[in-house]
Amino acid sequence: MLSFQSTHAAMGAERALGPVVPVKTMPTLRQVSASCGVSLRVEPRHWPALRAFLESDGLAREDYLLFRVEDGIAHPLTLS
Amino acid sequence: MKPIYLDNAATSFPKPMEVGPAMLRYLQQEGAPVGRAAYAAARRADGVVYDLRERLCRLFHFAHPDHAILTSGATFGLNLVLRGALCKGGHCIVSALEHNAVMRPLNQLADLGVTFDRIPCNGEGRMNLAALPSLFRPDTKLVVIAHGSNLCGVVQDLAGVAKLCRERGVPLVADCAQTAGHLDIDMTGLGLSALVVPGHKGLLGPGGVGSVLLDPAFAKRIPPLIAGGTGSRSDLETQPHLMPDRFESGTPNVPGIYGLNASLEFLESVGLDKIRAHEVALMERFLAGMEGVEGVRLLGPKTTENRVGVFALDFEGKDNAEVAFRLETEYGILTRCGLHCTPAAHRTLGTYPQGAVRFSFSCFTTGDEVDAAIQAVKAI
Repeated sequence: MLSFQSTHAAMGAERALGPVVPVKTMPTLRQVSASCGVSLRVEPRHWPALRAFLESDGLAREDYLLFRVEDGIAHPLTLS
Repeated sequence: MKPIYLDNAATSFPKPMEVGPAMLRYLQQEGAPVGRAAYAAARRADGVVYDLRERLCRLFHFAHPDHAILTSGATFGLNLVLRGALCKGGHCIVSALEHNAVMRPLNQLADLGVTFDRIPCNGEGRMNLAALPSLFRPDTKLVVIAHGSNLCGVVQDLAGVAKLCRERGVPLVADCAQTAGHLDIDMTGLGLSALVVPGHKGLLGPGGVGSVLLDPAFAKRIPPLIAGGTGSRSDLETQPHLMPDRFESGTPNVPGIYGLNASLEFLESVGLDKIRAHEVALMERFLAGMEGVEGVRLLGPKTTENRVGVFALDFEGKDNAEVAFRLETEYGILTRCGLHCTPAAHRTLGTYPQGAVRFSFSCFTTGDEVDAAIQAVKAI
């Protein structure tokens, strides 16, 4: 899951990621409240493609926070 | 008698055919808030907001869509930059042809200690750039220029002003209410700190929506005009610093945003070059028609160079209100008489307090409509 500070950044990311991996918008999890209300959800099977895109700085790193969500718990992820 | 609408400097009409349906689509089919929700309809609305910011950036050669602030119009944008840059006092320089959207907030600020000077101009309204350097003071915090006059259509030398401001590190704000959608304006090339536009004039959108493009460094230095809910950082009771949310509190005019997005799409599809060529042809026609007409003084430049299609006529020896009434009732020509919210420009051009009758064109104005206006003026 990617969360964003602003919905403008979320929309930009949604458009940039769209051709790369299937993304769905969802409300931001309560644990990640320091963000706007919109997050992007990517299913685990698409993680390799997402990671490659993010590691190539397809999105400005300061624009988003990245989480692995398991059983409703968000675990922060860092990229290399 | 079919009305001939020549009051486009006040608000443009007609709008492109796509504007109304776009607004209706939002009102009747989508209706979701923007910047606040994740469901599909809200994301579609967010997408339109995103598109609009990108279109504004393309139109004005600006690289920061998150700094394209959506406002209720140019008046809000001008208040934002004036009250922001001068919130701790200081000195401001303006042109001698400013609209009251600048002069009224500036005079309110003057009551709090802000001072200002006006750059003089010649009889046609062209700014005397040579006079500007001596107006700068150590406490000058802002220069605001009406790029195009809403009275006489003169277009000021923004590049010349920008150079002088840049040399002194003073932010320059361009009020492009009368030039946006008519001329190609390069925010980045000019080095503007802010570019302010309404949506409903040359940009051909509905009323109640506009934009101010803020240079990122300038944006950091000014406080928002209003604070409130943004849909972001809802954990905070203080205004977030992120852009564009910092300057966009409250639910915006979403139908207006849909309309403006549609009108900018139209402008992009037609192209500013084509629009300018059409409007220059209209101006040439009107100027030629006015040549030698007795008893009528045309304000502003007598050529199409550095001007837009806004013409003010002073009917000597007649009351301009009576002339405007006759234009409508006898010829179906809709004009605007009076002082046009710019007593400064009327004083500068010698038509205060009697005012003038203004004829203003848009890209939809036709040559036949201009000819009809010429014939009516001659007849009156």
